[in-house]
Amino acid sequence: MPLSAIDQQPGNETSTLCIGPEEVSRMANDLFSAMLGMPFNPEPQESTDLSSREVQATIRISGDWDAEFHVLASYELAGHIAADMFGTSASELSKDEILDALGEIVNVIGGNAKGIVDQDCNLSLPCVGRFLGELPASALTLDFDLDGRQLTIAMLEK
Amino acid sequence: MIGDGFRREEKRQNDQIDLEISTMNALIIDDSLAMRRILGTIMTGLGFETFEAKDGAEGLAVFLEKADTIEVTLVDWNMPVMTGIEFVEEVRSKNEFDTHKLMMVTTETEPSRMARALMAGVDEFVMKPFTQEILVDKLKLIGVRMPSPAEA
Repeated sequence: MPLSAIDQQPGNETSTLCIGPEEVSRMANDLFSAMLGMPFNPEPQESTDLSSREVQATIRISGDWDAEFHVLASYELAGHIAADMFGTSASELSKDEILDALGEIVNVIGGNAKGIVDQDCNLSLPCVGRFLGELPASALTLDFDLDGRQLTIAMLEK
Repeated sequence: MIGDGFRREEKRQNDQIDLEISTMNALIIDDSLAMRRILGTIMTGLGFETFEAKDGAEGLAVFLEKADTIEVTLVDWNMPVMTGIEFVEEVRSKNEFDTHKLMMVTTETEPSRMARALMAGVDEFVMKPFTQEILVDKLKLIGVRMPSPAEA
């Protein structure tokens, strides 16, 4: 059985696995379904065009394993996620609060990935801002349905 | 008359002490406002009053000022200015805080990181993402007193 972040049993069980779609899906499911209680479909969907994505959160892992994780969403979805995390409505949140919430999402995903790989490496602080419309072609890009909206998680191993 | 005034002042001070004893506080240190809010909501639901800080340095200042009233500190690892592990090392470097309950709430859960944190004096870890049940179980595990009955 794959190790789940929500199981709270980090260890060596999966340390030799690479991070692939299954791991990304499981990490996202742990975060959105188990922790935040949001309707999340862990089955990645066909990647659609990214034109509706407006905001981006990025985190870098550097050391024996170098990688980047990106979480992309429409501003409306980012607000929806933030509203859930803050326990309020999106209309009551500032732009900084909405971006902060998306930054924490990528922080958890990047941190979990780092834990699975279990190499000697460091996690950067998350960086959030406007999505500039492009991801590297070599990135593993997965689209998920989060409460009826499209969320993209991309991973780029270097 | 002076005696009455003295007794009133003494009673006021005693009431103040009773109030302080009946209030249990938790310190939450995380650079993410959203995560502070999630943890704050859980801890408040358990009956704690909460203090918040956005990095280790700010957390240390709050801790040193309010340490006597803080039952448990929940601290992230990766933060600007002062990291969570630096905060833990600062707190544990002072003998009077030897037994203060420190819990890391973090994504940094590789065995080597956990070993380093435990050596620095962390009592327990909660790995992000977490559920309220997991957090409560871990609080109980390290003997955190609950102000009101917690749902397991």
